[in-house]
Amino acid sequence: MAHTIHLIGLNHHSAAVEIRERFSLTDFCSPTAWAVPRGGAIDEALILSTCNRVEILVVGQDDAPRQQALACWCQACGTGLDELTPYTYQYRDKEAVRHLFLVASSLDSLVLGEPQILGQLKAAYRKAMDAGMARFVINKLLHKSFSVAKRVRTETAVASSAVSISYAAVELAKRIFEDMGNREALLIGAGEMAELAAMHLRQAGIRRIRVANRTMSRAQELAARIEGEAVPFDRLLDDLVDTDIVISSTGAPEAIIHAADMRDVLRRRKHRPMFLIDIAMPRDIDPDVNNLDNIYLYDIDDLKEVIEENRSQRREEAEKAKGIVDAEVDAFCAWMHSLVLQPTIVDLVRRGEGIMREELARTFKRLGTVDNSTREALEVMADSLVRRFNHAPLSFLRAAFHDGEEHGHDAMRAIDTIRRVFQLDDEDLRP
Amino acid sequence: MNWIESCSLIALLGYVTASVAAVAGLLGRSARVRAVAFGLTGVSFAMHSLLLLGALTAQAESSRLAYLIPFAWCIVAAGLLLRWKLRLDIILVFVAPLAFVLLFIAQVLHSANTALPETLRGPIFFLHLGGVFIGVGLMAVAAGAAAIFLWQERAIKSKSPLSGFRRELPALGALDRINALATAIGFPCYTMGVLCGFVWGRIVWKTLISGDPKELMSLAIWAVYALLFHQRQALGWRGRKPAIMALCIFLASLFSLFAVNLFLPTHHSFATYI
Repeated sequence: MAHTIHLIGLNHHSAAVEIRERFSLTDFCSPTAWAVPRGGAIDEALILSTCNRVEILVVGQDDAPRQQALACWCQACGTGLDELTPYTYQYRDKEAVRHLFLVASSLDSLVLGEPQILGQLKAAYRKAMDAGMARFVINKLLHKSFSVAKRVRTETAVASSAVSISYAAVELAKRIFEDMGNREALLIGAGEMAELAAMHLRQAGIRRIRVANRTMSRAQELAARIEGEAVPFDRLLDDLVDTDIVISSTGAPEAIIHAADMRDVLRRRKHRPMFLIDIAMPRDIDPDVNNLDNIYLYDIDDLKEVIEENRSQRREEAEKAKGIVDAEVDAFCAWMHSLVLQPTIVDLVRRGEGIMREELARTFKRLGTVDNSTREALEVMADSLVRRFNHAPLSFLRAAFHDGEEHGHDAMRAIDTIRRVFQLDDEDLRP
Repeated sequence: MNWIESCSLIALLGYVTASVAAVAGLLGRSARVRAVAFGLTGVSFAMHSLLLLGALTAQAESSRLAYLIPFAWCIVAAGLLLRWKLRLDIILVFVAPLAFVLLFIAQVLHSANTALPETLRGPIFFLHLGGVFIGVGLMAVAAGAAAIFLWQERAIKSKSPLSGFRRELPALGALDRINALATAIGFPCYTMGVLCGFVWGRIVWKTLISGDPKELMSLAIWAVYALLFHQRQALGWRGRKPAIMALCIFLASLFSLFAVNLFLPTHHSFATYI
């Protein structure tokens, strides 16, 4: 490859949290304080620094950019090279591309499939652009990594199942109700977990959230935070009639909602389905309620089980996702490889065009005055002559490149042959 | 191969491809593949319509007016109508395969090829057949949705993991909406169909009720259908019970269509005509 891609970094696998803190580059990736400047061996660079990882991507010739980037990193953190290197991984070309794609697709994350990393990578890319460090190769590489991440997200289920309790509850609600925008939720009890779940419900687009708590003032506080409304606790059963989703988390010593109550509530709400989430310990809702038609009751243990199941599902899906990543890595490396061909193709085409222009000028001079249609016909003919003549060497180059994808020297030999046969290097490309 | 046979072959191939595309589009989460399934079902339905038209205009010797051709046609019509109204691609997952199976059986069971006798022609006959078949066709779609509803609902109720195919299914509320709309349109159609049957019987055989097994069967089905319609409209029934009822109505209709027709003496048996 004409451009060599290096990726050096450390993450939660390779370094403990104190180490990651020590070598963090969070303060060194803005245009004003950029840890890995261009110049010397480095043509392009990108720095991603989060609490779980530092990734430095540099592009240049051969091995020098890697050494320079490491030196810059040490300098930014004020440490020696031998202190840093034991915790780092260093990838080159194909392996570097693969690692970047894995990071972007959240397959290298602590929580597989977590969505933040892609946003962080996008921010890092923006900073690199602002600093003028992202150019041809990094542009293409990062855009590709975003599209790989999107493919992984849509074609596998690696990010589709919830791995937190409150999010799992919202996911389940979506399995029951078709359209969250028309739903109403009621929080019974004003605990922290209820608040978190309420946030997720809001994000899912729920229409209205009410809060009922024995102490009205606490209900009002929570309601204010989540843009809901506080309702009196003693009217609970009436409020349940037009509630679709209930999240209960009171500290009551025994159940406060019983099957008999709910049977009545259901009749009054014409059997519209309800989803009850009981995250209180001891439980607020009598388990018998789950036996009623159109009511779905989940308690904290049920939700934990769902999450555990989802985690193992994500691990399985991650294997599938790696297949997608590998295919995309190959495609990207093929593109990188094809960059080697570009100068020769350009030279060859330019050479042909030069000869064509020269010969046309000579012909027109000899013919004297010619009418426009003759002139056009001659030009078209000359152009197609050159094109047809170039077709063979160009396909030869491309074929050698495709066959020799794995072994770069085949392509290099083809380039060399063409350059010598057509004497592309002999003279200063006479026009 | 004449044009009727070509139509039926294209329809059969179309339905089977649409079935595969519908399932693949669901599992692969590809809206494009699901749209292909919808398009294929539409094309097959057009071919199916030509086939039906050909059979009805009695290209007498070669026509294959097995009752399964109009029956399958009504199921697909109901499926396409509900798919269009509700925008739920899941409907194609069971409608296309069902259409394929019924049409395939129709091709195999075509042993006798005779046109309908004169007595069985006329507008009331078509209202009878059309009303009943559309009513049952809508219940076929509702039954498909019901089967999926019951399967998924049990998983959610019993807190088993929603993995694989289950994860791709629409919300329970959406599946219930299929049942609601199918019932709301289907019951009036079925009622009209059954009524026309009796009126027509009165005209042809001069009796209102002849005690034919199929008559009794359809009255029983009508009663369950009426109950479903009433409970839904008046009491707002939703979910499991309507799903079970839709399944019962469709299965009873299938029983009446196959078992009663083939094994019991009935003037509804087309065996005497086809």
